[in-house]
Amino acid sequence: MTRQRRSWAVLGLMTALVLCTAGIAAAQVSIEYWHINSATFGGAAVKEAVERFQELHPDIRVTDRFQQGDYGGLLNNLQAALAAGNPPAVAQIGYNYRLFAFEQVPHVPFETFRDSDPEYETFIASFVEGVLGLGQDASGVQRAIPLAVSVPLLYYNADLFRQAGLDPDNPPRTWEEVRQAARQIRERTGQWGIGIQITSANNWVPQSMVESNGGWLLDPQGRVAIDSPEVIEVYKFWQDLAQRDRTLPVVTDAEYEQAFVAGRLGMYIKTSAILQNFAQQANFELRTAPFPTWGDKPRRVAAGGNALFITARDPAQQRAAYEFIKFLTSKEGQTIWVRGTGYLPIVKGVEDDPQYLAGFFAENPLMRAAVAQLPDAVPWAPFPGPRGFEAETTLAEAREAILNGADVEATLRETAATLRRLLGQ
Amino acid sequence: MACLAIFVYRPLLETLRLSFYEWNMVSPTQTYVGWRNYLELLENPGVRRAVVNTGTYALWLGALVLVLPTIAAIALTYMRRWWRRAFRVVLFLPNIISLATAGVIWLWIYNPIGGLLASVWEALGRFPVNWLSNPGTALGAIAVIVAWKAFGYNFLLLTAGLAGVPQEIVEAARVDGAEGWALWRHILLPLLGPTIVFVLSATLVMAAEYVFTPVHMLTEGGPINASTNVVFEIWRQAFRWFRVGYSSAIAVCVFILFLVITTVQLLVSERVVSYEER
Repeated sequence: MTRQRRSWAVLGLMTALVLCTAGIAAAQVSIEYWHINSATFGGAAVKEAVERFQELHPDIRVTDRFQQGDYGGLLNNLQAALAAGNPPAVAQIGYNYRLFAFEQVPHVPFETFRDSDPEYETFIASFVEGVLGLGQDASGVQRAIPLAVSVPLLYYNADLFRQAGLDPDNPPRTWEEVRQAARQIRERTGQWGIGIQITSANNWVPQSMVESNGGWLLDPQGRVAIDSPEVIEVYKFWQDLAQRDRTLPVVTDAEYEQAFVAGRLGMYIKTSAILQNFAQQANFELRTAPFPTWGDKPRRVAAGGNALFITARDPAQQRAAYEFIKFLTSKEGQTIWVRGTGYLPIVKGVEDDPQYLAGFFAENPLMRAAVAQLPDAVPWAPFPGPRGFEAETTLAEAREAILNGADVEATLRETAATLRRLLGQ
Repeated sequence: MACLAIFVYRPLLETLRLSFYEWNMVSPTQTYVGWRNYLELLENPGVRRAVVNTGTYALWLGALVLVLPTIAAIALTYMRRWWRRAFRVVLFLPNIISLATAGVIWLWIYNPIGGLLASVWEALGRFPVNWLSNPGTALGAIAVIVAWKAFGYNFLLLTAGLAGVPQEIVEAARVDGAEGWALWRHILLPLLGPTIVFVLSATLVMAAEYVFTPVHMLTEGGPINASTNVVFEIWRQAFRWFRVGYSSAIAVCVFILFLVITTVQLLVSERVVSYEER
């Protein structure tokens, strides 16, 4: 009899256990997070953030999935997953794709949760001024939340500066000073003076150069403005570095990177996001300075990086995605992220709080030049419309032609006409 | 057969269908546009450039991966056995290296700042060439990478072809007084004919397949479209610019073009084979 009773008790206990775990499983939500952070580009920071988030939210399981091919590759895979009806819950979308994503990628706007979350307003107010605009559409709807912001920086090789008789403590501040320094490096050390980050996919650095000079690639109304005197002046200057001074080599961006890390390029204008990587690779004294200005004109740097979109279909997953995004952009989430990359903190008060990033910034003076530029950040202007991406490449091709010696004014006028046609203006 | 239907024929038909639509891959609506994609194709200078480049590239490659391996295979026959083996290994090596790795290696070789070629150039007292960023050299630079990768395979095929030439015929020719160039011109090269035709057609197929990776990795089709080609253009239209319909239209035209080339090739190679059997 007792044996029978005991077996009943055991059975009962097991049933209870099974029911309990089933209950937990039902309450637990699993979500996927798609990002472009490879092992050498902030991957560890993603893992750390996910683990910490799961500690805080035991009811949510996050699987992070690295996507190959940068923001374009991620978007391609996302399109395939959406077509198959199996999208991730959270996806990083590069700012240059944000207009496309607002209109074309099915997502839940972040502000949908405004009424159901009493903390919503506090969360929104925690961001550095201007940053949230990167996740808003033309009518001001908060569709996505910015995660990463990078700005172009002037990296320089302090050893080469000294060899050339330049003062590394007093780096060039204007483009004219950059030009002089580049000449001096070329003449006295025989190495190349300067490289400027380029790609055929977008015009991120050119936008910063042009807007700092008071011009626009696309004006605030979205009209093509690349044939204005301010833009022509910038591209002429760039061409002069390459063709007249011969201080800027006309090579691919990967070649600039190789050359700079190998100590054969004095200065390099490049995204701050690669800072940690450069700091590890360079075997010379690496330093950074703010993006150069044109004389006394104010500096304008386009904010690169990405925003987080909620692409889940299931309401429970959408809610979990919302919580996850809130964590990644909290003070704690930003601390993990900034430390592991070279992106700038985008929430107020983390950089001088000893609990968060104050210690890190004290030890990493290279980051200061980047952070100092945050107030000068302007939105990275994507080219709108179904043929916007093609238009971006067309402008990049004009830059290629100009650096190879084509007439600046004629090339830009011709390209402006093509862009107007592609953008339907 | 079922796999073939699902993974080859269905996408083929789907591509044909999409070429009459305008679609960005995510939007639920696909707009029917009739022949518009094809008409645009006729007047798009970028596509024209891609077609011309593909032809130029094929010529470059034909010269590099047919003529050079043939010369190498011939040179090898004059070597001692040990050297012959060593060279066979060395020349075949690039073939087993992945294209992505090859891309990185060649990036270093071509880099005008401190790269291998630049060092040689500078030692000769000349200003380094920006191989990948100069519109005049970019396409050739890409062709050299693909040729380097394909060289070993073709070389092996040609060596095998040479070894397969019946010794009796060669001996008979020697007895008749054929020596050196005359022997090659009248006996060996004609007998190598079928192998050469096979290598040529294999190269054309491979050229289309291999070319994407180095272009994608090293030049992105630039500068100013100098190194683009039809394969890269199809990819770029669909996956960079999200114009799936237009990209499909290019793909359909390229498919037809390749069909024609393959048919011609088949006819030609049949003639050559029958020549051998005669």
